[in-house]
Amino acid sequence: MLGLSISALTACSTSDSASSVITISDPVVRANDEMSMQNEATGKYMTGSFMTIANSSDEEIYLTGGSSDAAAIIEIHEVINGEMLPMSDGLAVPANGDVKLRMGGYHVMLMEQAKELKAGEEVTVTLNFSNGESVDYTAPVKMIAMDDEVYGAEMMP
Amino acid sequence: MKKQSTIVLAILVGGLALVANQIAAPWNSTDSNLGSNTVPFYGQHQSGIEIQRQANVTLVALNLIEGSDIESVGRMMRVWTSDAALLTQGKPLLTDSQAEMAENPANLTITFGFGHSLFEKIGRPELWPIAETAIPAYKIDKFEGRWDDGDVLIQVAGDDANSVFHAVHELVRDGAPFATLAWQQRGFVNAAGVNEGEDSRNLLGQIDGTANAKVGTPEFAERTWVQEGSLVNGTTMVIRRTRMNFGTWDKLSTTKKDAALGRTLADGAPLSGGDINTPMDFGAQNHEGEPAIPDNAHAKLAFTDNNQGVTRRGWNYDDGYTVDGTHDAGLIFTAFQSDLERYLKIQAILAEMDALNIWTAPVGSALFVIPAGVTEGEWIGQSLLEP
Repeated sequence: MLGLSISALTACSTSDSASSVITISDPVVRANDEMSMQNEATGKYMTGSFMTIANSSDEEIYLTGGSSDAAAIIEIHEVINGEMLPMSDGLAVPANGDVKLRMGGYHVMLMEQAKELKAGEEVTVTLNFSNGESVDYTAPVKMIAMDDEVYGAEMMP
Repeated sequence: MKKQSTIVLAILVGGLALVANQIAAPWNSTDSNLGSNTVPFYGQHQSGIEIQRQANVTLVALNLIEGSDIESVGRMMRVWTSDAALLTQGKPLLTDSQAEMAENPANLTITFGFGHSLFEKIGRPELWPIAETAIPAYKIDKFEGRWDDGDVLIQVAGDDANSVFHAVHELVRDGAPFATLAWQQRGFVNAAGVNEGEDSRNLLGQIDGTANAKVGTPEFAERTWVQEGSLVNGTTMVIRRTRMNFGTWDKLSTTKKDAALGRTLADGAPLSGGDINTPMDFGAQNHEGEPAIPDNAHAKLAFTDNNQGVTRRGWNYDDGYTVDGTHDAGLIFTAFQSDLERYLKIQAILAEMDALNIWTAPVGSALFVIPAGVTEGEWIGQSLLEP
């Protein structure tokens, strides 16, 4: 781990599409801790990732899903009345606007993690959007304290 | 007649070259918004050393949690490097607990150091970059076990106490998976804009920092920055918490106070004559035929010839009055030097003879190495831990 650079820590995003209209900034992944949920069957951890997603086009675009070497399943969730719920239609990123994925609100769920994630590591995630774009981001893993209610909901894959 | 050559040299070379890359000009009263002033974080050297002292400092020492290793220290420093790069530029962290508190950095600097115990705990003592592993004991020491050494040091300094608080709070919080607090010390000097261009006074009323090399001069670099080895472009840092005995000091006449220092309290001029920038003349006599600067005067004993000086950055502290009415206040003496031996030579003499020892007592002592600065993509300490 020591050899990894921290260049991505200050936020960056890359896209494999030349006509990219989606920008991801300030991404972070929550480190696993004693509060982290684990799949009861597999024992594998899950955690959340947070960021700001901007859309420079004139059309509303939906974040529909993603993939990562760090987790077998990537889902888009929102917290409603303290309960985490998957967003089956995806998360709308408004035309010429942005959406903030924050603790206690929208977030990208990393489920069935390949391994426990510790503070100071880095994770790369690819997010897929309804306009066909796929955008990579590399986020630092940080300890994030959260209210019990946010992470207290029973959410197993 | 022995003259103080260091100051002469400083005058000769001053302004010839600006080699350091992060020299912040001191705030001046024409600035419209002190709060938005920033000091570059990235550079050849860590920031927060080659800069006029900001108004406030918090020094925090932390100890690694059990089970730490070189890999976890690397992750810790990557988190902190990233945090410091943002906070010093007035940018909140995404995980910031009070993001608005980050918006007025006011020359905020964040500087990291490692203690010898860190290298022992991670089982890599061979990576400790200097010969000495601790400050030796002196007979004047009256340590209380509250401010001594530690695995990691963070110096957070700035012209606004709110932003200093906030940075310390975020750094300690983000460091929680790796290290726990060992001690903290908070200090202050003049507020920005007060006595511009002059050194702040310590709480005994003495102008503190006289004969330091000027920021941005080759002499400052020579005194401060390590020139070779794994600590290259870093430095060594000594922290001595020194309590002052105001009960007896307050009763002294000004003449006796001046004699203890070897300079006048009024304007810092040597007792041999001239002004604060005049070299001390140790051969000069007073009207009674005695040395004008007494042999046990602090400034004479601390004087170094042949440019063997250190960079002193003292901060006043005030812990208020104790229940018995004693004012618990003094100086958080910090010194940076390219070669720790320079400091040790001066300290050994002061410990034996310094007239000021009557009114001061060291109550805590710590030694850290300060790794080189970094460029974006690197983390502080990488040069020591990934040699």
